[in-house]
Amino acid sequence: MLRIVVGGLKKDITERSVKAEGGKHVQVTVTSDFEGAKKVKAGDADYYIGACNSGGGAALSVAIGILGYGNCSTVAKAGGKPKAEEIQKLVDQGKIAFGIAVESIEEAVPHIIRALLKKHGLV
Amino acid sequence: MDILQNTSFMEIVVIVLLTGLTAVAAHLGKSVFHDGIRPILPEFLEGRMKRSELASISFGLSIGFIVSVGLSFAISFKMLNPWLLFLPTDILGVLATRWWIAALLGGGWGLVALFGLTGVQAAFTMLPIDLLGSLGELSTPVLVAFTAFPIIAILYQFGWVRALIAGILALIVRQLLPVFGGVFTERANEEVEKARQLADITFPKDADFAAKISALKEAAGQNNQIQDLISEASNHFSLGSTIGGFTMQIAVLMLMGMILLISFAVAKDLKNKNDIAIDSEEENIFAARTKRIFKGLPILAGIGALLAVAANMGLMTGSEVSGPILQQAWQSTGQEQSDLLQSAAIADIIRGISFIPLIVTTALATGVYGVVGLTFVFPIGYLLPNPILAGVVGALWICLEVIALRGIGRFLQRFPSLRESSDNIRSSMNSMIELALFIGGAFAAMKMAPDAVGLSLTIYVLLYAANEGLGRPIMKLAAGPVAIIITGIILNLLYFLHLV
Repeated sequence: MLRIVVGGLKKDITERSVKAEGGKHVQVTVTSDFEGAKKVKAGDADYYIGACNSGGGAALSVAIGILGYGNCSTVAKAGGKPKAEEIQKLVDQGKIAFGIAVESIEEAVPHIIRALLKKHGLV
Repeated sequence: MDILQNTSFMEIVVIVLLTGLTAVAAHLGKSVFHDGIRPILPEFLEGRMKRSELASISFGLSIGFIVSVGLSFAISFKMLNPWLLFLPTDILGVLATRWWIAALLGGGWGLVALFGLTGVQAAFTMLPIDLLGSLGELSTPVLVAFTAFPIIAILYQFGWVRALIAGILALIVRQLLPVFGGVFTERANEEVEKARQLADITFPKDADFAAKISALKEAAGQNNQIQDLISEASNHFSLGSTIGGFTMQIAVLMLMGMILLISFAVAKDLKNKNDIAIDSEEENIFAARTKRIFKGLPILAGIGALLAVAANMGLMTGSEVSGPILQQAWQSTGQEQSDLLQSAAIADIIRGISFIPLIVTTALATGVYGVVGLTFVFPIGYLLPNPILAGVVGALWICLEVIALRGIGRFLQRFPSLRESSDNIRSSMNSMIELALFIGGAFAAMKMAPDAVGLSLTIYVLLYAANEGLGRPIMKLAAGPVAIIITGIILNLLYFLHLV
């Protein structure tokens, strides 16, 4: 079971996408960027997913401050399509917080969840 | 040169100083505009990242915003905006290897933006089909969308029952405002009637209020009683029309929705008071970072002053929500202008409130402040009577913000639901502005070609749909304005080819 916290903008869409892809393998908590990142740091959650307009601004800024830049990555920027291979690579590098542009949530979240499930041997 | 005549020397000085200073602030790591670059700056300042790497990250994060939002909003609202000015100065400041190079590059960008904008406007006004005038249509749906921000945020956070209650309350207040305003208008009419009897004159049948007042003034002569009645009537009439007016309705509804949203959030946290822990490790980090921001105070206050001056001179809009209203405001005069400026100020204040948690938290966690602070210097600029006063108050205000940072940070720790409300307000603002600008674009298309409405609307909708189909190379927020600008250009081309 992966414990995932959702922060940032359009949390409802992110939550729905995570649940749709992860099904019984994920437990989703909708919260704020600050509370979510603290949960991940404290070990009460495994991964953080957040969205904002650019995918790298409000989506991750607080997470970077709390979890460190090396643990966070933007997976889908504004004005571009998210790529499955790149997301897989970032997941394999051990990133624990992911930022997405609001327009790409529905496309990017399934990639992230699939990559995470694969990494943890849940598929 | 048309362009030079349209831009005063003072305007050039203000913008060049502003962008020069923001580039220096980014170079020194005192403040950046992009919320995503703020947390990465310490990586560079503390030596874990190279300058070139930071510059390329900030370029990557910002370029989409500069081109789609910054540029299209500047043309649509005929004003400079923070994305167009400060995202590039973030990049230039980070890129520069010396502070004076940053200042030169930043100031240079200010010139490019200012003259680029006036140049584009000059070019567009020469076109046979009026593109710029039609862009004013973008603002009407935006004004209406305002009232929905807080209610939709309540829907996201607290479910449909409370959202419905808030929505019904908002409608009731909206309907009551004209009634309340009507009381004053009625009183004004009674006073006019009384004055008419005293002066012993008759009004033409279809005389409006202003005509009646001027007729009375003529007849009043030295009669103090009539003159008093006239001035009371005018006061009551303007009070009545302000209260019942469109802009007042929007302002009151926005404020009411915000108060409801904040009360729901605070009530929720007060109920769960015991579950909320305050982290002492966090406190220590925050204390060290706050000191760093204090050291940057002179340059931050300077930027604050220039921002308020630029907003006061009508050179700049603070955000996507105030832009369309400001555009209308600067075109109108007198009472209407001050009403619209107030609405723009309220819109930016509410937007500002929704950004407080994000900006304060990132500032406290990184020691790097936002270039425009908590964005409240913009409403200061809109509201104050002259640039000098705006500049002084703007600078003082930024100092107050920095002093208050720690306090706000502690407050937010105690009320975590407020953070969530802020995300939800920003989400709903985003959705509503996207929608409003899309509808506004359709209005503009119809105004642009009144004889070929079908054609212009078709071009507009096709362009918008093409962006969706291509995976949104233009951000959805900017898709409406970009599509309508291109539609205008295409219509003009067709006109030249004698096809319209």
